[in-house]
Amino acid sequence: MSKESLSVLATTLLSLVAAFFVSAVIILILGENPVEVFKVFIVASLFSWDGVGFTLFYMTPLLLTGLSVSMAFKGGLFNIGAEGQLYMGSMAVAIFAGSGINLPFYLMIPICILLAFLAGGIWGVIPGYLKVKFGSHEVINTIMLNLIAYGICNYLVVGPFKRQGDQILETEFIAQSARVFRLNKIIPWISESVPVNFALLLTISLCVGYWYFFHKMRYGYEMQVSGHSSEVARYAGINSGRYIILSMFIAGGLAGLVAVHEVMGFRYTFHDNFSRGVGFMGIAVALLGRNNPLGIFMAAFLFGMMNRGSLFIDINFDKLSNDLVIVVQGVIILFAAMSGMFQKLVRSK
Amino acid sequence: MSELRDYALKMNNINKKFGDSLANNQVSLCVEKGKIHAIVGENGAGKSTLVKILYGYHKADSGDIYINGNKVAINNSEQAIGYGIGMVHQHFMLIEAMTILDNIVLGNPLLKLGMVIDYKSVRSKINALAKEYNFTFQLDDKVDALGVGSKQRLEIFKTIYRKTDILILDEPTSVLTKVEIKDLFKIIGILKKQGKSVIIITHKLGEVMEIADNVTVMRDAKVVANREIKNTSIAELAGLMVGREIIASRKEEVIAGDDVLVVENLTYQPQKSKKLLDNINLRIAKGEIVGIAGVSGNGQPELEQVLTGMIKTGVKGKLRYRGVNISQKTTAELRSSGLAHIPSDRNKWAYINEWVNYQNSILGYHAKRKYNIASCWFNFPVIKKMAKSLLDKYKVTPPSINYSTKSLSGGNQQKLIVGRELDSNPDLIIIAEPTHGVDIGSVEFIHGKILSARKAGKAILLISSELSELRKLSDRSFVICEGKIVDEINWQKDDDQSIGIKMIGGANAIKRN
Repeated sequence: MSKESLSVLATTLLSLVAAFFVSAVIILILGENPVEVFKVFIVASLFSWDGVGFTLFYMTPLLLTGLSVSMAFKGGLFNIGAEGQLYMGSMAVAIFAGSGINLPFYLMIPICILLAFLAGGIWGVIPGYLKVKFGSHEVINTIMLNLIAYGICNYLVVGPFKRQGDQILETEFIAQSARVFRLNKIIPWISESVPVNFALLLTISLCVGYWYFFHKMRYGYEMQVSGHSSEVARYAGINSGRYIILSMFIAGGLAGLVAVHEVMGFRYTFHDNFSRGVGFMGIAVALLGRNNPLGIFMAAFLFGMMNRGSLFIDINFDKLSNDLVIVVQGVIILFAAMSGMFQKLVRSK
Repeated sequence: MSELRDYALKMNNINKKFGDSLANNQVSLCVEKGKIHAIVGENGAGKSTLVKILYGYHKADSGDIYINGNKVAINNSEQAIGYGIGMVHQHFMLIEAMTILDNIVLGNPLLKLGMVIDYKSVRSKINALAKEYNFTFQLDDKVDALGVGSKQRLEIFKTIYRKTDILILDEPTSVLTKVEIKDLFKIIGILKKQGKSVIIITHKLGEVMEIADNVTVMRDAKVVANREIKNTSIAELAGLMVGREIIASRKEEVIAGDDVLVVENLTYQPQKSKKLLDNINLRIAKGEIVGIAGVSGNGQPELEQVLTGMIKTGVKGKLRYRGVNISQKTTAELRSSGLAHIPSDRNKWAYINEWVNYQNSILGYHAKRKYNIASCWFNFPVIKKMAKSLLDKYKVTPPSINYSTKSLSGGNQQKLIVGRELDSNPDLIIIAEPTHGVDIGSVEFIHGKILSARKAGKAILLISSELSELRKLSDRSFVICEGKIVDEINWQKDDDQSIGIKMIGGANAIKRN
């Protein structure tokens, strides 16, 4: 491991330790023992097969949106639109696979995955294109497209595509052939109630692909040049506009793939407002993971652990609620954003 | 210790290590009151580290600092300012959107009632100081409207306003024109008269001889000599700096061949702007170096970018490269057909900050067939082997392919870039300011490499604001002024002064002013 990546690792770990320390103080003030609280987090998420399964389940969409945000970062853009992109991807799959169409699974699943990627990708490409063509800032445009995506999906799930004869705001269930398998089919220790599914394997392979793209391929090199500096790209004969559009397309596509996890692997329908900010959490995951696929994996795993553990806070502690996890995650984001300070600490050693 | 009191500043046996490399090794420096003290040395010799320690950016590993004979500890720049030390950086620390007045006040406001800036007394204080030191400012002008020379004067004035006794100037003349340098030297003279001490870091020895009283020469993190200016010469200082005699490389006769690049009636006019390049005609043949001389800001960066395909819109005229019209060709296409480009602004264009040497050593050539497998996967063994031999061949130190390019000294960065471009086996090389901010040893090396490219039959366009460089390297040279080629230089007849007059628009322009 190079000196540089060691110092990045040390910096990140240091900011995590500081974040947990501050969280511990908050828990103390609230009148509980932080050691006991963290023990519950760890026991609930790691000490049983089901716990691990749920942690991985919560991790999967965070990993996808983390990769999405990070992909845009590499292209020099800030993608705040993962939330909208994942809604568009999921809605596209829910409508297509829930339309009564019937194809064999070996056609249906690839088509649905492609559709999810494409729908999210188009939602990502719009701000990319606007940036290249008119110079309008992607942060504003991705935020606005989030709102538009909420509006469209809300309308569709309340109106034309609502499942009939049911109070719940959901679309028709998707065809059996579009459903991906749950991991308990191949890992017998995980019980049937744990919805972690094929999407996890897909996502992990995407992490590897991400690493491969930026470390081994010429196009990854060119995208990084264009992301670091459009002036250097101009000097080196690299068309940075093309890479802005490409990186936003892939970023949108990766967020769109949350459909595989949610629609094809978990609920088998588009559930209104299902995400609750997974797209925004992706920003924190990418930040904490320092745009490195392994780092993003670990950050997403940590956040997955906390999401799993949060379910047991109410039950075990009188003075705490499940929302504690939001506080802890907030503190972590705060410290990850202050990493410059910790870097100085590490460098001076 | 009584002798200490004669010195405004004394630094004693300063040591500083960065990682494994020694940046300052037992460095001592004595600056007399009311004297101008130059510190010269190649890039990476440790000059900047020394003054950064003095200004509180770095902490020395060991060693003492005395100011007016009193031992002090300087842990940050605030403390340094408190001890009367001021610094003007190479890159100015001004807020462009604010007025001159606000920039002066910033960081040192006079307050009314402890919270409101007392502009009235600030103004009168500034006016009094400006009169005393012979500065003129329009206090309510925005800083972004100022030229480089005025910005620098403002920076110096800021330090005066903060009651500086010891002023550090880091490479103060590298961004200035000849006239502006004269003005700067006048100001430095006034400061000296007022009893301030000035430390100038530079590698321009001619200026040292002109302005300084004393000089300290650094090499390889050590002080190698202290001299009084009246007892030394440029030749001695240059020799001390590089540790060997510099031999001016003699140009061999090369018979120029066919035209490689022909430029006809080239005009560049961006939207809503005047013409930045106006009707330029040039021919560059195989085996010749064509020079472009001029005061910076007269169309040189535009010429460089138009010829390399970096600017397309607003360009009119004919560009023919080996007989083919290239006005529609992209930079990537030009590069793959044998164009190399050593750019004027290496920090902006020539490498990626976050990357290490081997990654930067293929920048612009990364699409070459030999670096790729099936044209999209990098062939790392080939790339790394090439990078290693490049670093060795062009004497980049440290010659490590995994070393961060940003951390190399300016001279070594430039050698890496020169190597990358010259070793790409080009036919046409566009070179701009190849030795800007580069130490003397590297200048010699880079000049030698450019001359051997000429010998190998390359066509070279050399854009430079250093006349001595053009005199030494070019076969034919032209003067550019306000985007026009105004004259050809005759190196036998024209002296620096007459060329200088051509560069600022001819004798008429002087009369007009």
